[in-house]
Amino acid sequence: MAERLVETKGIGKNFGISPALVDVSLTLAPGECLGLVGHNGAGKSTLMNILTGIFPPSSGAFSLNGRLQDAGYNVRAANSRGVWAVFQELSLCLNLTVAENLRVFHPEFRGWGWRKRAGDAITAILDEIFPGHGIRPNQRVETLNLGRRQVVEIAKAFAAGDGLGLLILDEPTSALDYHTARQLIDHLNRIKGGSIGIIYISHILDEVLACTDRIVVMKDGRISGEVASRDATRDRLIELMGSKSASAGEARGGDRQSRDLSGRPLLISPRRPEEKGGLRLTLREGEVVGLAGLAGHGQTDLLIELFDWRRNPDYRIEGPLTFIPGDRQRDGNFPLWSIIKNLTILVYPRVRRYRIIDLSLERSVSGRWRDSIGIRAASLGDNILSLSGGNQQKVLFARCLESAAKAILMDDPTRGVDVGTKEIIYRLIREERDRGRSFVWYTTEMDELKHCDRVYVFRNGSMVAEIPGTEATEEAVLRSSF
Amino acid sequence: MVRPLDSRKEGLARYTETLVPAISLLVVLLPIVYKQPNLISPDRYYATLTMTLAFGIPIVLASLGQMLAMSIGEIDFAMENLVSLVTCVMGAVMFKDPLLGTAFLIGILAVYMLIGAFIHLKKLPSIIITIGMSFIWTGLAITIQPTPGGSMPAAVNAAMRLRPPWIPYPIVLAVLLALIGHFLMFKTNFGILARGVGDNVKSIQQAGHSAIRVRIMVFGLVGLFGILSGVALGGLTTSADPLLAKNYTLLSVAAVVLGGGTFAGGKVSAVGAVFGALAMHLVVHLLVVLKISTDWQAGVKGFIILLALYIGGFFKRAGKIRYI
Amino acid sequence: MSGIGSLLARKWLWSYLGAAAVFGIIAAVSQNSFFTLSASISFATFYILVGIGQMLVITTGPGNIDLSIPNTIAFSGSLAFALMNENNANIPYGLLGGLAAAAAIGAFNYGLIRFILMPPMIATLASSLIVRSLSIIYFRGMQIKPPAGLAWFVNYRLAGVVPIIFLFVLVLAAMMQLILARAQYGRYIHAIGQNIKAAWLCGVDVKRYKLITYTLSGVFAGVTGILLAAFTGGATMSMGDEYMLNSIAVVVMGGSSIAGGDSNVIGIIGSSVLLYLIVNLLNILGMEAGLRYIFTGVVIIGIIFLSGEKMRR
Repeated sequence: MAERLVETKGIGKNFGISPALVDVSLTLAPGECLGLVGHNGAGKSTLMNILTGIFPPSSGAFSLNGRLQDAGYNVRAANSRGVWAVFQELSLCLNLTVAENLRVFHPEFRGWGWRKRAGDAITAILDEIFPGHGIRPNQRVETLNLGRRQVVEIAKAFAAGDGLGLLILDEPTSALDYHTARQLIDHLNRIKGGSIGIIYISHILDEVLACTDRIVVMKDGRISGEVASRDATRDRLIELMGSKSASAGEARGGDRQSRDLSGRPLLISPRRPEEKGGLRLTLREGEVVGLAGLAGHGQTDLLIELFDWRRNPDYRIEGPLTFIPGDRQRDGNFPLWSIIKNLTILVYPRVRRYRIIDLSLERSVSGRWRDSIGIRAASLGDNILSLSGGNQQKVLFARCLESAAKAILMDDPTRGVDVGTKEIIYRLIREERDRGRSFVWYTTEMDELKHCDRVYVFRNGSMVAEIPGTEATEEAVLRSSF
Repeated sequence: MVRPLDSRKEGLARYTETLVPAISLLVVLLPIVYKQPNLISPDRYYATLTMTLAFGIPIVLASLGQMLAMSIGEIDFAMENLVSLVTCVMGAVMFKDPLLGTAFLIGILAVYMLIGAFIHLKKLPSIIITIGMSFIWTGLAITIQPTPGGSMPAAVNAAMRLRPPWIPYPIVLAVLLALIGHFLMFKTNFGILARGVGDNVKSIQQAGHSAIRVRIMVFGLVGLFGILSGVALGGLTTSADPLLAKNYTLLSVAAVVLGGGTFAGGKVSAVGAVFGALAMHLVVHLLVVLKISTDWQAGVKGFIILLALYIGGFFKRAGKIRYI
Repeated sequence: MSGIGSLLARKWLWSYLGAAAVFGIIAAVSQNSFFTLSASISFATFYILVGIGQMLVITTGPGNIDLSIPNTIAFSGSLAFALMNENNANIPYGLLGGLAAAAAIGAFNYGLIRFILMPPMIATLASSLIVRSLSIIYFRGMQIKPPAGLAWFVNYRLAGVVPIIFLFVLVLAAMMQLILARAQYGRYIHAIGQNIKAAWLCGVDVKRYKLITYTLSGVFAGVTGILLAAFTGGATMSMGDEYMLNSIAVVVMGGSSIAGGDSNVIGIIGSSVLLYLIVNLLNILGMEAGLRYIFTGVVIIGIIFLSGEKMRR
């Protein structure tokens, strides 16, 4: 058996201009359980996607069992070489039964009686790891709740049996209750020291401490520290995850000042007093409220609920609001339209005469924004997709800021945007705030919280903490979200 | 924007899925039995049932084809045109020149497989391609058999008129087809992959399976079931007609949905589709039994199809839809 | 060079070039080619009308196609004629009644899509069965001639050549072009067709605009029904049948995207004339109805195939 199950050498990965991984080198021995922690965008999932063959690295290389991986490495190849992964986003087909899902991924279950064999195999694994699971192999996955689906996903990876070499668990317990999560961790502790190498990613640090031998901390696409699990503590890990930038934030804390907005009118307020299901958001005129916490913990859902303001059962909202998406292709752009048409869709009443849109007015509105925020385009009549991502995002900002809406919802609006554009966006938000416009700003970047007056931290779909902007350091947010 | 069902509704859905088509069939059957007591008379049941159900078989076949298309989230909009065309091929070509007729049918199969490849490569919904195809099929049908007529090959006529002991032939066929369909969708690797593609193409591809192959095979089988439906219909009517399978597209879609299928998400049931198809056939038959004027029949049919779609989809309604 | 290149990149131009070419062939094989052209333009008028209605629906995004057009044409034409009852004084009632019925059918179609959650093509096809039945029940065998005023209007030709309804439809088309390019309604349905979620996030009331669109498609079919019935001397049950295919064909041939979000009124005018000239040519060449079906089906699929557009499903 090879000494090293996995060895990565200087792996880097770029998405467009922004580097997601920089020079990552780590090793894993058979039988070892490695914890991997870090905040959003630290690069953990990117690294795992590379190891499981979902996409190739931009630079560097890695080997499995001493064998260097080639260009043809994909998910199928990874599986056949013993690499199996459990991601937060499930790979199961909901309309298939548990046994059928097993067959889709494990071609060895074929021929007569496969259904029984696959069913027996998965039941045996489930019985071993999750006694009392209550899952029948001929049950369709859609009839299982989210936690049980996750359990099946985990068992599916273990079904590779002797073919399992490297097991990657990316947030495997996010949908599991305490008891089931405990069962998984106990099982990992049981198989540790065998032939399987395990990489365990979680934001629940106590779990990572409980089942790993060694913990690697990532930050901004790099490895920022490595500790042996028995010497590590929560505080030490949180410090490694955020220390550098937290101090940087402190240094630049000059623009942090507490503003008294209590006399301003409320734009968003809860209809009922707070319930035990978490905090409720309020938003005053001229206020910037940040939504923080780990990605996908309910921030975008809240923004969508708020945006659908006429039908919102929980909040009293003074609409209309506008929405700046982070995923431009999916939620923002009209791909067949020019920059001008993309920019003016919210403000037709302002650019038309006698109900007919005046093209020169439309052009002058767009031209004004081009000059004030520097949309770099050969011509404003060009297709929106001819712009770089940052400039497309500027158009989306211009679209919303040109409207008269009092409150603007932002769904991680600086995602994948270059530094220069970010500075322009921050400046815009400050200016508009001072003019009395309000923002609800979901961001995955800790640095951006310093622009907020108040910050709500999300965990598992609800808001668990409210932090004044002046105290919204990375460390404070991390403490609430982990 | 669709949210998952809450768990209470989910449990309800599981029961209704199997019960809805069966109950619908029963609800339709009862008034027919009341009007035609021969259906349950020990002496006459055989002939009456055979007569009543025979024309349900081509609908069952078309519905199984439609079920295959819907298992991967597509719809074959040219079903009625295909079935009609096949009766014309049988009546006008196969009868005189079996070799040419067979080549014709193989050509249709090949076109269907091309459609599968086409929708995969162009990422086009099949509904748009198949509406184009529907005119090509009808055009071909009119060209080879402009008016109703022609004669079916004797073997086809004979095949549709077998008389098994005790159990009427259409029932034997329906049960057989339900079993074949169920086996295909739920016991074979192909069926699992097809339904998987209907729900989560990405996973299926990442597991190393070829989605284009699945789509080609599915559409090949859609064509095959369409052809079988045409052969069966031709054998029953013993004549060819470019408009013979009128409304089959809607009836087959309604049958699949009534039988527990959905327009997206790869959820289908072969047994349900067979029940659904028989229910749809009997509803149409009921209109005749109740002596509903032919003037009303198209409208009532349309209404019933909408009702079937509504009932079939009722227990699967999702939570909050913000835009559609 | 680049001038010609950008001109050729305009998709609508092809339908005009095609129409010119087909007319050239007709002129070569037939004696009274200008009479053919004039007749073609009269009939093309109806293609333009249904084509615009269909185009509005198609513009709202993938899968949106109105298949109830043929039966809406028959029903509204028949209803209007029944109300007019060959009397000039009743023309306004007839127009109003026919168009109101057509609008109601369109709104009903969207209701089915919205509340029963079915694909638009299934919904519109099923509802058209009901409409057909209503036509048969109320209007079968009805032999009402158009009121003299209406008959005069639809058959009048300026200078004996240019049909006045063609000019009427051109004006209507120009208005639609203006609405689609420069009015909020037009911009919104393009936005919905390109990216329905982004449109919703821009505050577009998607349901309302789709309702308007399906209703408008019904109204355009209704106008067609009334004019067509007047033109052919009376409403019949099957007078709309050919428009199911042809309404889609002229939209696709005119350069609109079958995937939605990109409409083209100018192209529809060209492609309508082209399509009718082709029909005429095939007639002259002695081709039968079946071949015309095949031809049109092949053209639709061929254009989708060649256009190279990939759809966001």
